[in-house]
Amino acid sequence: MLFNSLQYLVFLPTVFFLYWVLPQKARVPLLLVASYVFYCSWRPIYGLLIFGLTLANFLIVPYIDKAAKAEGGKHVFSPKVWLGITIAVNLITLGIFKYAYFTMDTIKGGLGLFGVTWNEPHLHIILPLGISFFVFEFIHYAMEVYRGKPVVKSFSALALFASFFPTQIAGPIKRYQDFVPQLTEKIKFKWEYLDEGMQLILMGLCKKVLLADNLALVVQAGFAHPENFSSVDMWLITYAFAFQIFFDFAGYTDIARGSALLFGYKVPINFNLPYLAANVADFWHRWHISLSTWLRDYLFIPLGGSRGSKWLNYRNLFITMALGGLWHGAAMHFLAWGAYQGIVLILHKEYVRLLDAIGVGKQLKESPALAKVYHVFSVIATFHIVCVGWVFFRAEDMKTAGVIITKLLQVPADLMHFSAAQLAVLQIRDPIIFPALLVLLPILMIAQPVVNWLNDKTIYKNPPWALQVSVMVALMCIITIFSPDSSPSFIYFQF
Amino acid sequence: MKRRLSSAITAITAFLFLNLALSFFAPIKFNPFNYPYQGWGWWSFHDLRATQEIHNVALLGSSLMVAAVNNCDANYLNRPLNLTEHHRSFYLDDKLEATFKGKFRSYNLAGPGQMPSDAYLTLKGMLSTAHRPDVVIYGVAPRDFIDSQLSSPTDTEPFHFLSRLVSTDDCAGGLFRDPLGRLSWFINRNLYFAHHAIDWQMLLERKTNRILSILTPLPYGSKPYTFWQRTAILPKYKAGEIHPNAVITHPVTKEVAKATFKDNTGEYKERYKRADRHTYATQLYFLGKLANLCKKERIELILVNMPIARENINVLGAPTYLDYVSTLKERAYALNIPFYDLNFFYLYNTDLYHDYVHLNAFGGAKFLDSLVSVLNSDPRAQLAMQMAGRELWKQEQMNKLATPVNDATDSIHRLKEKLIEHNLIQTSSGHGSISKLREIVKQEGDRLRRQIGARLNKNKQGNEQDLDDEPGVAM
Repeated sequence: MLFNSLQYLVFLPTVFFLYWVLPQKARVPLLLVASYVFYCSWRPIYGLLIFGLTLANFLIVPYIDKAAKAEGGKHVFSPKVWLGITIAVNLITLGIFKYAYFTMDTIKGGLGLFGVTWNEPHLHIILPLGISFFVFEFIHYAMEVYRGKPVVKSFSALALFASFFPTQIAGPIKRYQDFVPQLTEKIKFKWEYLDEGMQLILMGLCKKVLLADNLALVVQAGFAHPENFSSVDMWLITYAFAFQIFFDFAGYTDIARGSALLFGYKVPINFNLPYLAANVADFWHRWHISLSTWLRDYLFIPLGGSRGSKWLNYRNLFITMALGGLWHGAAMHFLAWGAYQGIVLILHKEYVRLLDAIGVGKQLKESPALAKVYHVFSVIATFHIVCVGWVFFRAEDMKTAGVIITKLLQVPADLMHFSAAQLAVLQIRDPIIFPALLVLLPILMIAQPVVNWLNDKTIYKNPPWALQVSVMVALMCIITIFSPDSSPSFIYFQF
Repeated sequence: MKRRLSSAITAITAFLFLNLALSFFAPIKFNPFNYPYQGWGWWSFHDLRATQEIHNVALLGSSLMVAAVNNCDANYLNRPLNLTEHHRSFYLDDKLEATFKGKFRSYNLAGPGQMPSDAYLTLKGMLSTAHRPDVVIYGVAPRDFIDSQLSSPTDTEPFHFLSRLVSTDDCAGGLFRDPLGRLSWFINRNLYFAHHAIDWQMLLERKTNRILSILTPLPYGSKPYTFWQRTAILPKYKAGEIHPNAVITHPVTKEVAKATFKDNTGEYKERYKRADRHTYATQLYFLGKLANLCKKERIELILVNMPIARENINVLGAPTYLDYVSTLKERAYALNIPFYDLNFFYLYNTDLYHDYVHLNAFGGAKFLDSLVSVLNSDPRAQLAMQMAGRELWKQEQMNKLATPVNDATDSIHRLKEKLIEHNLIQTSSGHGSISKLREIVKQEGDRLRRQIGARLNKNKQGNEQDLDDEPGVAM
């Protein structure tokens, strides 16, 4: 069931209505049933997968706690072993469903290098929706219990934590210590839940159907046929993808958060104006926040984090980001994207060291004006570094990514004798998003600092009632007009 | 502090009221013929509206009918045919005239993938935008009833376009297989912005285009991307669009036809593989709707089972095919419409096919020959065709008479002779003045128009309409 489908338009109000008319004790079971209905509407059989994994975690994770509390280590296994078993169960499941083909392809390619041909079996595996998200939630739960946090005693609470339909398919990745207590809170209906929830849902849908879906046309053409576009075109197309993926995923997250809020639940934010990041580390504090904090807490830190030598730190950073890339999809270009992020994070650390060594860091601290100029430069530079990374992310394969990167690098030479006639985006008059790019992209770029500035203003945080109503009506009109039956699903659904 | 009303509830209420108000006052009258792209249905209806001619035979069917008629005509006329413009079967018209006498002018409303649900809306579209034909020849094949690539009648491109031209209220019961489909239809039918979503998209696109032509104009010296360049980089964008020169049928020799034969078994394995009873029953329901519509409009519907090769039947399975044919026979009998199974295996070898379902030029000619032959051998169809031919012939004659008359004595004389020939006046004496004669011609013309059901005035008005949307009454 997609958030931008008619099914969801029926499903959500029905669950919302039932949730608030039913007594408190029936609400969690209702949400659990609704979440399984939501999941099974795609492929009923995969309901067993999420149920089985929940059951496995519910049964195994308490042993971590028991082993930790057992006096004198009188337990069959140590907490670490139980943790290892739990993680293995989760990762093996993820590996089978998500990485089986990738592993076989990699082995086949490796054998091919030695002249060995191997006909890999066809496993008929279809990637279950949201598996990467709920597996990460289970691992987080096990890790936290290992670190001494309490075990979830109620099966239905753990089951709902993993299957909660607003966040089930593409996050945000929740933390059980934030989510589970909300299940037992006695909450009464507040109109604010409906008002704020609906605002978020409408904003999210609008980001998806108006911006992401239209930008997708440009991106689709550019990444499939880079040979038809000049280097300047390719930069514009890459910017377009940067905004497409942002609006697609941020739109999804808004709908998820809004849907959760309708039931009085708060789920974490995932984005904080990521394209205003002043460096790549800052970008990862603003982009897909629930994933980056997960990677930090359950991969980077267990690997050793920033402890130890500089090179150990860099190794940990690289492994974390590369695996983070692979988490997005079982393909080499995702691994390359992750590795690229790892490398630019390491280079950024070295760059900061260099600035400090030559005294620029001190100068920036002393001169606010210079710091401001430097900040603007940093934001622009970071945006472009991130954009280059998106090429690996979006390209169908490494070869195409290479072609596009080469083209992007040609831009200084092409700009020397640039004329508007070279721009293919101006020659493609239908769909109009192509010529509109030259207007839309600057608007989207300017909108980032404007929103940042507005964030502190009362009119933005708490707009007048009439303005809220007007904006919601306008959004409803826009969504009704621009919601085609053929609207593609959200990009992050595939992960 | 007193609490305000919920902004969400207020917004939903305001949105519904806005829709209601816009439906009621309709500030913009949208032209239903405006469509984001020009697909097969658009071209057929665009030309049908544009022509002032009356067609007494309408052809319906899927690509099987399209291929048979057009391939045959390309050879018959010995010139390439642009299928966005060629909507007539000259070969069939000439055959019909030779067999049944009178005048025949066919209009080919068959389209690739047309299912009975599309055929029903197509005929409704013809009746509401142009005129009533006397005879409808509908060529069907098993795929039209069971194509697993189209689970709902609302999935097809013709349906999307035609549902803008005609109401689907009367067939809503057969359109959906689940309550969500019905809900979607209900929303689209009753919510102004959903009902006019395409119109608003096009309107906003036009406005945006105007702004963009100023802000980001086409650079001097460069040319806009052509249809071909665009489809090369965005093949799925406006997938149903047909460029005026995109589909051209060329005359072929027997050798060329044989050499270009294609095996399309794989495609049909896909189409037949998930055939389900629901789709089958739905399409039979629409066949019934089509027959009832024809009965109501006094149109003779002739149902024809199109030739397909044995190889294709093997993919479907012989028992299923026989079941399909017998069901069609039964249904036609129940609906009281003539049904002819023209899939004569002895007549069509693979040399007459372009692939295992589409006839080439020679197969098409053979099919049309056997069609005319069976029509002539059935007294009911024969009578229907003779009447249709005669009515159009009379109409043509009257039109010819009415236009070039002047006051010159010899013209009046000739006119009188024609009127006597048609038994409209008794003798050449009397009815002296030209105005009296013209009145007789006019009366006869009106009578024929009523009989044929021509809606030329409406047609004319439609053509004079500006293609852009205009203020007025909508929905």
